[in-house]
Amino acid sequence: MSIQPVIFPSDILLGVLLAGGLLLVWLARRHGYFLEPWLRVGQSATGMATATVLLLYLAVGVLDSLHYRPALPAENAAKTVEYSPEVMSVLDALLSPLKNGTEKTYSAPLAVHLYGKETMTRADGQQVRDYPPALYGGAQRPAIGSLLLRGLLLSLPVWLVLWGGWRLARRRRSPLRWDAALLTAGLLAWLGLSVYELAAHYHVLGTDKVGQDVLYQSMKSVRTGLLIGTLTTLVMLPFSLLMGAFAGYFKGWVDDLIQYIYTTLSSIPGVLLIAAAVLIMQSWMDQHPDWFATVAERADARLMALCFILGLTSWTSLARLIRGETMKLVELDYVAAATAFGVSHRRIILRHILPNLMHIVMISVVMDFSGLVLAEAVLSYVGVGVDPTMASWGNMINGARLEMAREPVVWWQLAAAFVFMFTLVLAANLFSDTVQTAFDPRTRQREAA
Amino acid sequence: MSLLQVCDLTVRIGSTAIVDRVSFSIAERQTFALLGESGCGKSMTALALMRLLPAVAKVTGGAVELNQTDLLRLPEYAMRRVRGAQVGMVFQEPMVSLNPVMRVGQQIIEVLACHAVAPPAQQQAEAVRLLQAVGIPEAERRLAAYPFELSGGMKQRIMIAMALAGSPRLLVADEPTTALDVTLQKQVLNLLRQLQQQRGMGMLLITHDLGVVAEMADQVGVMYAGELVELASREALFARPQHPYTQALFAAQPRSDRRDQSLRALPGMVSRPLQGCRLAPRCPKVEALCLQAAPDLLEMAEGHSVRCHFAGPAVPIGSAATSVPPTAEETPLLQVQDLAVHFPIRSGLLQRVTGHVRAVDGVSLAIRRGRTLALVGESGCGKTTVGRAILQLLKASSGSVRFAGAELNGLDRRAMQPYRRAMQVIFQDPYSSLNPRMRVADILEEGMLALGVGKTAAERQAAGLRLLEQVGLPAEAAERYPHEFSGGQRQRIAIARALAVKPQIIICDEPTSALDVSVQAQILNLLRQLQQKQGLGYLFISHNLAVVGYLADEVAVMYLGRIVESGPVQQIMQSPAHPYTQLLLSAVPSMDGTGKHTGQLASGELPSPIHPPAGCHFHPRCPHAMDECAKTYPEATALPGEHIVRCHLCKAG
Ligand SMILES: Nc1ncnc2c1ncn2[C@@H]1O[C@H](COP(=O)(O)OP(=O)(O)OP(=O)(O)O)[C@@H](O)[C@H]1O
Ligand code: SF4
Ligand code: SF4
Ligand SMILES: [Mg+2]
Repeated sequence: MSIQPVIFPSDILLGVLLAGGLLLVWLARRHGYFLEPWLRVGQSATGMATATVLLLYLAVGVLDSLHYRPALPAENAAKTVEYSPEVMSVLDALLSPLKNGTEKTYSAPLAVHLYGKETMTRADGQQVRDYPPALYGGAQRPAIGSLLLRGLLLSLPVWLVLWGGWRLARRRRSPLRWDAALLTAGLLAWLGLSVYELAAHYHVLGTDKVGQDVLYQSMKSVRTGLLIGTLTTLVMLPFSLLMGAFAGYFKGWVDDLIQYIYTTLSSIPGVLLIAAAVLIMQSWMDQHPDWFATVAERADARLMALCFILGLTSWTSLARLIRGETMKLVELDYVAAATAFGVSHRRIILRHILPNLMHIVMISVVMDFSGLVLAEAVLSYVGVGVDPTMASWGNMINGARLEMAREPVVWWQLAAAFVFMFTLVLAANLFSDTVQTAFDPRTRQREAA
Repeated sequence: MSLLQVCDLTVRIGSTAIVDRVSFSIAERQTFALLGESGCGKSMTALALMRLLPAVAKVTGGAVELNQTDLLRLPEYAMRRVRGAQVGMVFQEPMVSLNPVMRVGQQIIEVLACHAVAPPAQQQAEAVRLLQAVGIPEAERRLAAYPFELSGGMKQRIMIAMALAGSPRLLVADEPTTALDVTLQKQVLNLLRQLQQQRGMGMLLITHDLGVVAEMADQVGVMYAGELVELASREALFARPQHPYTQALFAAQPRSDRRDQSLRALPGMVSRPLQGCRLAPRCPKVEALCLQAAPDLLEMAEGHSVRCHFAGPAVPIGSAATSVPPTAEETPLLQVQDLAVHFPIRSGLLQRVTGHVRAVDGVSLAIRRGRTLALVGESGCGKTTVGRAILQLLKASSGSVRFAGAELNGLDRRAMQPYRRAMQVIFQDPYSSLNPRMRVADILEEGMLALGVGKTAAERQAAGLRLLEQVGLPAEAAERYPHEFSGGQRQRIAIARALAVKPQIIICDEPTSALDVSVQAQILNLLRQLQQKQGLGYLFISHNLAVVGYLADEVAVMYLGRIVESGPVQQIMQSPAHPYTQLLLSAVPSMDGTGKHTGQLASGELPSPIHPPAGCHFHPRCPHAMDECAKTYPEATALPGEHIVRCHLCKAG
């Protein structure tokens, strides 16, 4: 089957981000000072374990960013290949049973029937009012216990491989905490394979109002969360860095002006500013429906716009930090020495100031990430977040809120979004803690003392 | 009966013993000085016996007995009572040892309450008594001050007061005067000695400064690479040092009478060979036996132990090349006239200028090719500011700086560029003067690139390698980052960086004050050697008069933004005319080891440059002040031999 690759702007940016990450790895290999703090992250069990979890999320996000349009079944052996208007991702293809296995409406996790009773006509013509059976998984489902057992058995070879990896790390006397990473990977593999086995026959996390699988939606939301958490920082970073470094380096009126801008910006309540910007953007997009070929394209544009808006409204705190640090750096003797050589301002900023701000940037990028993921949820819940057609945890929670009052409670949508988001945010927070201690110059001093 | 008995104390970080089987004892009323260079384990020894070691370091053996109780076996709660009540501690950095947001009175009372020294009602009075004991005037008023309102010497006195609060039997002072000026050092040392006499305390004094040892110690332990290498009474040590390392410490001292030769410094730096004597790689007496067997600490004479196979009289280290002073040119290369730098003080809502810090207030200097002009004075008198204003790193408020006749003040960035090549700078702190993110090669290349020295990258690289060789670093240093080097090596890199653009004048802002004596000797030798080869002119900013006496040709003494005396080094050192110069010189510890405490006591501290005293700035501290001194600032008086002094005394006489 032929396919037509589709590349959204956000895919490009994600690619840029990944390339940036690889560049960092390369830099770290060349420059000892850059590798050193990362090695310290690797020497903490928390750092390695959470990095494993984050990598898993990243993998899901990347799979979901490889977009394409499948070819439609050729009609009458026509020469021209027609492509479907629906944009798929590799993740969609992998999860197609889940994607297509929709029900009529709600069903609870692992349930074999739907949520509400219906009047059905039985084969003998009698009308009964009962829970209709779930369509997905077929009539003859294996028992949950046996599926779990199969999941466990399937994970055994994975454990074996991981154990081999651990032996290798031991033999090489790697200073990193591979044990933590491999243990986490093993547990995740066990969980994943069990869910995989179950998901072939059950809606593991139930279905939503229109019968879509909640597990599938939660996984689709991973990309949205990751993009918001990372692209926003990518947008804001140049602003914060330049503004902060300029203010701290040039002082005087430049400093006054920049301080004035960010004090003004940060005194407007953030949510208000974001809501206003999003609403303007939304109505603007509504007026130009012709700009977007597909719904997905439109949703993507909106996601990007949201990243920009969040970025533009949140650069102030980092800029402030950078300004303060720059002021300290400027007082250092090596900057004075460079000035005594008549080195230009541009070169001083590029070679003496910016490289020495890297630890702050690193720390704030990882620290902001979880906050931004949560911000997306809040904004979507309020209705000024991502496009309603886009899978996101915020939209899931928003959709679930009305159903919380029903009896019995429809809890699984909320719970699923919560668990997925919580795991990501917790892992990111713990990871950022280790990054912070590793990059903080004071840690090194304490160790040296 | 000894008060403190340390026996085979061993402290390890990982597998290296940073304190290796150290034994000594301190009697009541006795001062034991632990002497050694940075990283030899003196502070760790002190922290170990207070049980305050950082988490990475562990005591792995030995015993510490204070009044017959083994401190290493006490439970932590009992140890807390020992600290403060039986052992008081004073640290090097008074700035970081005090809590900046608490009034000093509160902090002292906290200590008093903690050791239940006085009932709550009398704590205030007790605190006042303590401050008086450490010689702080207006003690009641000072109790309400915050640490930032006090000067460095004041803060160190308060630290001492707090260490005394629990009436300890033993005082541990870790480099108590290293952060202070000579004058303050003298005051603090006198204070410590006085208090010790009054209270009959024992004192463990940790220092890297032979001068401080000469002033204070009864017994001395010399440490090298974690081991005690020599243990003796002060008299014996100063009269007949037996260990090659101790001898090298003496030989490395810069002194006026060694002016015509280079200093004899041990080559290389501290290392720990796996086998044999730890000093072997650097020792001038090393023989085959030293490389195989580590020597033991053996008693040579009564109370004098040495760890060396060949202990005995010193042999000279290397050859002390006599140096020929280069012929001086008559016309100065750099001429500074009436230079003033006033920093505006802004306050209030509108940030209006409400006053000025007169950091530099009319300074005139002349630097010749191939000569060294030393600028000396207490901390905060404006020395660094003069240097920065000459380099145009700071804007001067008035006055002129002329390089080879051309006026530099008021030039903009671009117009200044041609003169940047001619004047370079070396800073005090070797840690903040090199960008940690740049390779040494890039650091050396930066100036060449900015000033267009060397056309191609290959040419610049070759020049960089030559420079490294010149300052005595291996070529492979080029590829490394600053953090891989020791303080002395970093200072060499900074010197190479300055030399890269082939300057004619180098402003050295206390280039050796952050370094150990032996490293200082290496750097001083290097500076002198470069001067002889290349005819460099130095402006050598320093507060260390011994170094100045060794290196300088002319001296300018600065007090509160002005030069009070200037002239050739011999005249200033041997017959100082200004009372302030006399005071500075008398504060330098005498190195004869007889322990005589001569000289007038330097009293008072540098006043604020915001409101300098009327008349002669020095009159509040001057022992010879007259009525006239409080009214008019003295004119410059020329004494014979280009010796200029600003003092009413000299004019009269
Ligand atoms: N940027 C500044 N703004 C205001 N005051 C300053 C500034 N820089 C220095 N000063 C003040 O000017 C005076 C002289 O400072 P300077 O650094 O030149 O002294 P110094 O003699 O080099 O001292 P040290 O021996 O401690 O290095 C001090 O009182 C200092 O507080
Ligand atoms: S034992 Fe040998 S190497 Fe060590 S100090 Fe004595 S003479 Fe020097
Ligand atoms: S002028 Fe007066 S106060 Fe100043 S140094 Fe001379 S004698 Fe002392
Ligand atoms: Mg200074």
